[in-house]
Amino acid sequence: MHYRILILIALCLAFFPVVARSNMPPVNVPPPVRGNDKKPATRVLRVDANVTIILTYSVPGEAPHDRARLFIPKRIADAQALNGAVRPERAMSAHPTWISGLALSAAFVTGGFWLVGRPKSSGAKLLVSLLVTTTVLITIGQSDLLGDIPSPWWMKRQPRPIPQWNMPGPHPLAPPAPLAPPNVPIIVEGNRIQIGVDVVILADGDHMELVLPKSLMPAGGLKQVGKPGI
Amino acid sequence: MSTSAFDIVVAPRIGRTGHPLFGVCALGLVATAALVAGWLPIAFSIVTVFLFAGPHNWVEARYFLSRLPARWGRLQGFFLVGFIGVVGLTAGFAGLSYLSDVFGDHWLSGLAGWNTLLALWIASLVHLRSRQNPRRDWLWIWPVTFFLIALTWLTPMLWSLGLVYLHPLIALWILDREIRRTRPEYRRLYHVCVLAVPICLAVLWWKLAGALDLEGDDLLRRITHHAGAGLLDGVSSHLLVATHTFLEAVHYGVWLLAIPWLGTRTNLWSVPRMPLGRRSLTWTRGLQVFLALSACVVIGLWLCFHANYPITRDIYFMLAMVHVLAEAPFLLRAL
Repeated sequence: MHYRILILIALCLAFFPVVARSNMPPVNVPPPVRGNDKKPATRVLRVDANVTIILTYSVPGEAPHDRARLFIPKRIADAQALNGAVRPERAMSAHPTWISGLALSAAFVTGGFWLVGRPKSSGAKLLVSLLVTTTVLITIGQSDLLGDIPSPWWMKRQPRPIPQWNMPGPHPLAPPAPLAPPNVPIIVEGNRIQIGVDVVILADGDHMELVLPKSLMPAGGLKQVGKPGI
Repeated sequence: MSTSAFDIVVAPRIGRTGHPLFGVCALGLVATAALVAGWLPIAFSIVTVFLFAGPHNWVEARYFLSRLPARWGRLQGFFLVGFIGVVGLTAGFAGLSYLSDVFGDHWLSGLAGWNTLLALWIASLVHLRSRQNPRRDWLWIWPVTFFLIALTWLTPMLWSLGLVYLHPLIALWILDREIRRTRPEYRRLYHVCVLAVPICLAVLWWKLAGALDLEGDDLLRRITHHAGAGLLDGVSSHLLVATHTFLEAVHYGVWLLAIPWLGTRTNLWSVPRMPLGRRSLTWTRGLQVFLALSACVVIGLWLCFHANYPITRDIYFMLAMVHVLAEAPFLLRAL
């Protein structure tokens, strides 16, 4: 009786965080002020051989020629590294998970040995219930498990024609129209330039590149100053 | 029709229950702890740790000494594994805390490794205890242990946080076994009182779910981080500290009130009557000196808390791992 009560308490402790994080609004309580919200996410990059910025002026004809483009490789724009602090749990995610897999395998193996060693009636009942539960879960979840797997080569399927859409409005399955950048005119005020900027995160790359419209290139062209890439 | 000369009259069995005052005191303690913890979690945490941390460790040490057998005999392997684990894991925990700067990014791996050793140690103790009685079948502990090990390598910090919250509940289990041993008539009443703990937890979480985070100085950050405020995003630190402080208060109540009261019927307060004390006069004197020195350590702890509470608190919780780990073998022996 006592261990059941303690298990109940432990389960309560495990489930109450879910309840606490529900959307229940506080009563007459002002919204919490979290100090971290006021601190902007920043990262200091030192321009050196590992981080280079290339300034390019686009030639006429490259669309959109009136907007600047900043290309940033993903490894530099990694959001997890903002503020120089990586959450300990996310640092752990880089750790190989083979130990967890090994431990889980050991759990199944030792559990199987324990079931086999028990009296036939109880062990068999537990094993059967485990098999039934697993079968039910796989049956329910197979659409999620198998949805993205391509059909095997012996099951050639004809492409399904897109049904004709006769209803008013766009087809619900039609791809959305590409976003057109807003038409922001270039305004030059002394040493300040007001220009639209498109930021593109590249999957790979080892340098950042700022592409400005050729119309902003200073008279006389560019002169190499300082270290390359700066 | 003749009647036998030996008619046996069986008197109706009268169930013996504990005195209601026990239930009133227990429920009052739990309710008061929940109320104060929810209302003033930080102040309550500081005061309870200051006043009761040292004394409850002293009572625990006295209780464990009273439960040690005079000669280990068949329990030699069990107690050897137990003591080696307590000392080794405490040393490892202290080293992990002090060498966090050295380990750097591998500190989490070290923590997961320590959690793994802890799980394997407890599983070994359960396995050894299971083999001492042919009717026991506790070998399910191994699949459960390996499953927990898999979890700790995925989320070592959350796993450790789970230990912080589950440790206070172990005292309730030990108290149950002690009541069963010394005053079994109180056991049913005790089980009813224990139900008040999840009810108070439910009330705390209901009332504090939308509470503001606690803000303050460095000491407050230590207390909130100890309760898991840095790990559980979206959960109010007020709620976390209140929960942890409430459970700790219940833990202190068990060791400072319930166990000493039950000890009036046992050898808890008489060293010569303890199994170890009965071995020889040398053992008796040795135990008495040890307990006297421990009492001086408790007084010294109070002075250190008064001088510098934050640092003393950090050092205490690092070294207090000893009493957390020591509860495992003695609880298993009581089962």
